[in-house]
Amino acid sequence: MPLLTLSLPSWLEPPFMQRALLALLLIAPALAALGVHVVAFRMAFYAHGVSHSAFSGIAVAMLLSLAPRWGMLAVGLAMALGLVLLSRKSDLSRDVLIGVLLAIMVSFGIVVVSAQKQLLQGFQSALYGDILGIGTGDLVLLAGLFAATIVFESFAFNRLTLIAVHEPMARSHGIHTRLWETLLALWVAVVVLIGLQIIGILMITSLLIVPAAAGRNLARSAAGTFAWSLLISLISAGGGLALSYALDSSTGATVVLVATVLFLLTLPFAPRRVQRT
Amino acid sequence: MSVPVHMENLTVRAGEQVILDHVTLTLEEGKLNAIIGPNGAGKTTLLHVLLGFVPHEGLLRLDGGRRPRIGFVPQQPAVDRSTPATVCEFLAAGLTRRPPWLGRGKTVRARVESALEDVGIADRMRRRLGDLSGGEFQRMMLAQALLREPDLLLLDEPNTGVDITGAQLFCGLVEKIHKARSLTTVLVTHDIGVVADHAHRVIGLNKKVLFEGPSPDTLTPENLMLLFGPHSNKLAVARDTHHSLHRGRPGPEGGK
Repeated sequence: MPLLTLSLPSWLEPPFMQRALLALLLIAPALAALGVHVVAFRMAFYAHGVSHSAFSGIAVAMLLSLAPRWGMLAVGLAMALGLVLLSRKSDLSRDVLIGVLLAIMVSFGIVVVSAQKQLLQGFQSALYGDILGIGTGDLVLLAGLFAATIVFESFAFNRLTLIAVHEPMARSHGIHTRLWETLLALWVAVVVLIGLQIIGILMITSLLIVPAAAGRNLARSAAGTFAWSLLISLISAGGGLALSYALDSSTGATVVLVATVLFLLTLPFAPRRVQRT
Repeated sequence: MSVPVHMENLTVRAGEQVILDHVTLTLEEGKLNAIIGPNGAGKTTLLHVLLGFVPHEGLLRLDGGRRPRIGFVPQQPAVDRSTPATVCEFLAAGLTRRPPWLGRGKTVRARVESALEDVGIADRMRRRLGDLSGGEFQRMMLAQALLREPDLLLLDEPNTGVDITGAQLFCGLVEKIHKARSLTTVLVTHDIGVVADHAHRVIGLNKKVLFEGPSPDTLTPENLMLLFGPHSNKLAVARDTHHSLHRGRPGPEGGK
C-alpha cells in the first residue's frame, strides 16, 4: 500500500483536463509576463489587432492548404511586422493603422470562410479556443514558448523599463530602443497567436492585459508587478478551468472572468494617480 | 574625464525646414554651458545631435580620445512617471541587465545608494517613481545620468514642472557636482536667472548662434532683445528678481 496517495479532484481525473491545466499554467504566465510591458507601452489595441489577424490566417491557410496554426502565425507575424514598419513611416497614428489593418484582416477572413461553409467549425474553435483538444505536442510547444518568454524577459526587462520611462534617455544608455520595441511587438504577437488557439481570439488580449493590470494595482515595485501578474494569471488559469468544468462553460472566457474578478478585488489597492510637484 | 565639444557649420533639417542653421560653437571643457532661446529655437535638437540621435550636416567633434559617455537628464513632462518601478529598480536598470525579479547584486545596490546620497534623496530609494515630487524626480534623473560616469552632462529644461524650491535645490546640486567633477555640462533652459547664477558661459540660440560669451556679462538687454524680441523686458525683470532673491550669493565665477 503506497504511503502517499496523490488524489486528484474529480474534475482533474480525465487526462484531457490534466493536459488543459498544464497548457493554461504555461500560456497564462507567459501572457502575463509580456502583459506587464503591454500595459506600460499601451499596446492593448495592438495585441487585439494581432489576435484578430487570425481570421485572415485561417482563410490563408485554407487557400494554401496549410494547417490553420501556421496560417495564423504567418499572417499574424506579417501584420505585426507591417504595423511596426508602417507606424514609423506613416503620418497616421498607430491606433488608426491598427484599426485599418484589423478591418482588413477580419473582413477578408470572414468573406473567404463564409464562402466555404465547411470551414465555419474551424472558425468557431478559433473564436473560443480549443483547450480540451490539447495534445502532447502542443504541451511541448507551450513549454518551449514559456521558457523562451522567460529568457526574453531576462534580457529585455530592464531595457524595456528604461524605454517606457523615456525613450531618448534609454538611448543615451546605449540601448537600441527600436530593436527592443520591435522584439517586444513580435514576441507579443508570437505568444498571442499561439495562445489564442487555446484561449480563443475573443479572450486572448484580456489574459494579456487583466493580470498585468491587477499586478500593477497590488505592487509597489517592478519586481512586485511582475510577480503579482504571474500569480494572478496562474490563479485565474487554475480557478477558471475548474469553474468552467463545473459550469460546463467556455474555458477561455471563464479563465478571463476569474481574472477580471481578481482585478476588481485589487482596485482598492491601486496606487493614487496624483503626482506632486 | 571631461570633454570639450566643437561644432562647425552644423545644420539639421527636417524635410524642407531648417532646425539648426550653420551652428559654429565650442563648449568648453569642464565648464557649465547654458543654451537659451525661445520655443522652437532648436535647443533640444542640439542636445539630440550631441547624443547622436539626429543626422546632421557639418562637423561635430567630441574630443577625448574615445567615444565619450554622455549623461542625459530629459524634460520632466516628457517622462512617463507611471511606470511601476521603484527608484532603486529604475537606477539599477541603467547599471545591469539582470531584472529586479532575479534579485539585485550588492555592487549595484551600493552604487545606487551612493548616487542617491550624492543627490540628497537616499531615503527615497524604495519609493515608486510616481510617488516622488517633481524636484525629487529630477534629482533621481540626475543620479541616473551621473551613474553613467559621464564625460559630458546634458540637462534639457531640468526645472520644467518643478517648484521654485525644488528648482533651486536642483541647480545648486548641479553646480556642486560640476565643481567636484569639472564635468563639461550643457544646460538648456528658459530661466535667465538660473543662467545668470549658475552658468559659466551662455549661448543664445535661435536656429543660429546669436551670441555667446561668459555669463552673466553676456545677458545684456540688447542680447536678450535680439533673442526673445519684445518679451525680453520681462525676462530681464525675471533675471533681476532672481538675483535679488539670491543677493549675496556668489556667481559661478565668484562674482555677481
